[in-house]
Amino acid sequence: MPFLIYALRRALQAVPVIILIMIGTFLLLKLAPGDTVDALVGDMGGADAEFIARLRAEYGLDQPVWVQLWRYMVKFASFDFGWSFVYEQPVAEVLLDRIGTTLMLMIASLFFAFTLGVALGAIAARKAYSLTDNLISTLGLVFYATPSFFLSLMMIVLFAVHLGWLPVAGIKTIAAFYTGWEHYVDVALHLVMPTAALSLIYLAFYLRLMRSSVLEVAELDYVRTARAKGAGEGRLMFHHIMRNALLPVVTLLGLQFSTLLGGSVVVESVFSLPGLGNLAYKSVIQRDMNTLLGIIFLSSVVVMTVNFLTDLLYARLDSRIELA
Amino acid sequence: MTLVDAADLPPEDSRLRVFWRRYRRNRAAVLGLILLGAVILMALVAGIYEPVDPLRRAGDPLARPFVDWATPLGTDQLGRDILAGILHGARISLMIGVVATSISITIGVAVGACAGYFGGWVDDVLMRVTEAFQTIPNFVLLLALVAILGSQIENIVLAIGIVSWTAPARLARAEFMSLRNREFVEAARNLGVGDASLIFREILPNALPPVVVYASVIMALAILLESALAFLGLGDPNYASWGNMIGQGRAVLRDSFYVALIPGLAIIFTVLSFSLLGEGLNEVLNPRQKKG
Repeated sequence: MPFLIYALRRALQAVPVIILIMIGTFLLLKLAPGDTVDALVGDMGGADAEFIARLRAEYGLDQPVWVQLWRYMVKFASFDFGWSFVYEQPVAEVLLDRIGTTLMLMIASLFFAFTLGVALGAIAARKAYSLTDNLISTLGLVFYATPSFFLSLMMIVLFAVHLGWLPVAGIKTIAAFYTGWEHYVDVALHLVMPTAALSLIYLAFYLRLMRSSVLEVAELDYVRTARAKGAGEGRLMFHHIMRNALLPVVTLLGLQFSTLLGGSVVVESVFSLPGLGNLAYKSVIQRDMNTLLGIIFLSSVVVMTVNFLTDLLYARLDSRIELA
Repeated sequence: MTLVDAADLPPEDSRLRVFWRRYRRNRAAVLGLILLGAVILMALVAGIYEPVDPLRRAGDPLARPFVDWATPLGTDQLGRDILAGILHGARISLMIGVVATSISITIGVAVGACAGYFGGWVDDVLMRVTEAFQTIPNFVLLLALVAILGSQIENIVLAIGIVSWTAPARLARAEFMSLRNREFVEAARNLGVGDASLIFREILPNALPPVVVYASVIMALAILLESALAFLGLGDPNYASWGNMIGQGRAVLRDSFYVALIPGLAIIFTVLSFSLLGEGLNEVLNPRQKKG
């Protein structure tokens, strides 16, 4: 029961943040040059002043700002992000079409970065200050400094252009009409380079944090006790050290998710994946503010959900945390 | 332990020399300083090497590197000298790093100081705002701000500052919370020193070291953010930028990948220098934090 109450309380804490984000996106919309009616009229190729005024009244744009904000928030709360004048569809539908690809890329990248980062970090800490450690730590620094778009291009040169192992762009081979297993393999092959490009910088984060975390935990008394009782080095690592050393890394998992979503803008654009990030980039080029703000709001909701889940996971993993 | 004991030092040693003595113990940090020096040098000689315009046509398009000494690193598809772009790009990257970081640290410290010093509802409100900014994916917010403000370089710098102040704010808040009830602050308060003076003259100097260390992280982040914007073609077209050069190189990737490779290496070295610098500063300024 205390776990449920904790979850509920934690969920309630998100409400003011969501409201602030709504107000923020509303402000951005107001700051942007032109409003919905300007876009509509531009779409129709011009209209007379009286008609424009009537349209404004119809959309509630003649109301005081507070009333507009309230209506805007009610609409957003029901995931109604308005109309996209570029895609001639409700924004919510455009987003729904693309969120799957982005989530797939996120999950694959996070999984790859997390497992490899944790493993490399643990190895580096295990052999602290040796050649292996120096090599891994240097690699981590270089990964951190490499922009994902640059890495993407260099991978394309090597793996797609010269070696011809991997497809250059897109999410599937369009002309092939694969079905069943072939389809999944095809999609997976298309996702290899984007996943690698996106996860490298996070791999560096996890690696560094895991290394220092393992070093810290390995000095604690209970580890010495376990060693004195004759636990082998392997068992010591997996059974005793790793469990506690992973805690700060799990926290980072949630915290980095919003940066990861931001990074997908660049990677999805390079590999022309039909996801939210690519959509965000196109919306900026095409001045589609409704879609852009919809993406901001939707991705914020995704980030909050992930943070919420990692918090719950953390509370489960670390029994020292008081739930009440 | 090779810790320098304060008593062992000759008394005339300035703080700067003590600082340098501690700093140079970390060889990686010294390498970072050398790399940074090289980048600054690149920015300085940019005007000597190419005083007119790095974006002008300097030779035949797509000349290979190390062939013609008029264009040592080759040219891109429009015949622009890559070396000139690299040197002038160093200027832009450093300028953006420094100015955007100043903006970000100023906003962050102001927010964090108020939240940590006053506590209560001020803290609640400011922390919710910080959380909101942390929740929105920063690059998407950056795109939105650039779409609204426009791609002029001043606006890009401002936008980068706006999307990256949350971490320094949290750092400053934690420092202020732990310092606000210390004895020296209480003493000053009892002497009748006002809030503003307490914040700026008593607490701030003690709260700054971790924030200064973090500045190197923001500097690296700002350079990466700008290069990503420029790569997508959303940077200021009037200036040579490494990100933009990589974006141009994308079109000729198949046959002339060096057009993208050279500016990419420049970004990596610059960001690496800031990371190493930050680690060195961290060891000198926050010696308690890390033993290993």
